[in-house]
Amino acid sequence: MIPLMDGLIFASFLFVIGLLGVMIRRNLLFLLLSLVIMNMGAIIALVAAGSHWQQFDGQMIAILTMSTTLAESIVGLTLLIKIFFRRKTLNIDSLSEMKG
Amino acid sequence: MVVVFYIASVIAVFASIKVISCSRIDKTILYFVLLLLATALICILLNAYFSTILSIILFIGGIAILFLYVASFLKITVDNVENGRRGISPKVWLGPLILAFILLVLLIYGIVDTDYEQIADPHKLLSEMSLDAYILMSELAGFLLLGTVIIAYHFMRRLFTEMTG
Repeated sequence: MIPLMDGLIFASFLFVIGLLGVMIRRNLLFLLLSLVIMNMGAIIALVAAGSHWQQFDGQMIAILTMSTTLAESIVGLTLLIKIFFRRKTLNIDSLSEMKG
Repeated sequence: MVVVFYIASVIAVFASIKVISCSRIDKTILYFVLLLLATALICILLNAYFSTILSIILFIGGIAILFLYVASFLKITVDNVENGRRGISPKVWLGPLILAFILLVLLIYGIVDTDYEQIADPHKLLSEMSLDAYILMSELAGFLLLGTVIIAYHFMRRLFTEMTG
């Protein structure tokens, strides 16, 4: 039996690393990867809590979180392709020069 | 079993640090797949087999392959955004970083200090009561993915018509 505390601490580590990646990187591809890492932290926290209480609820919400993560990265990658074809760069700061 | 959990979590944390610090796309995606495998192992250790199978199918078969496909479609191999660009100075991020670190310490203290045996009881009825809500939840997840497909089609429609005609 894995202690709940260790699973939650590991999940918060993953979340913080993903947040750090969102803050320090400017490439949109790496930004999306960091968002997926943050979602992995949330999923691990849900699964760890559901395993500790011996119930299925945590796993169900984890499965819903997986599908939202998939949807988020698909929409993000579509926007990435649009930005790359329009501006020839993946820098997220180039979007702040948008006018109109 | 606990030792396996610690080894897998150390591997996952190392792989995620490499994901956010690498500059080559292929190396990054390899470390990303390594992170997903390590978290799948942790899910197996937590007795969540169905979530493990779904996470392997959706994340490695879906997200990692999508990232790899987009990187090869746009012919980007090296991150050249960060070259010649200096990061924001420590004056900007030092204060929020210290405050966020204090919050993290408080969060870990709250996790460690809580007595979970007391709050385990009121949740027992939830799974019996909400069997129908779970069917609704999985249907909503399916409709969310369908909406994603429609959004992606609307974004890419003009690009595809330009490419084909």
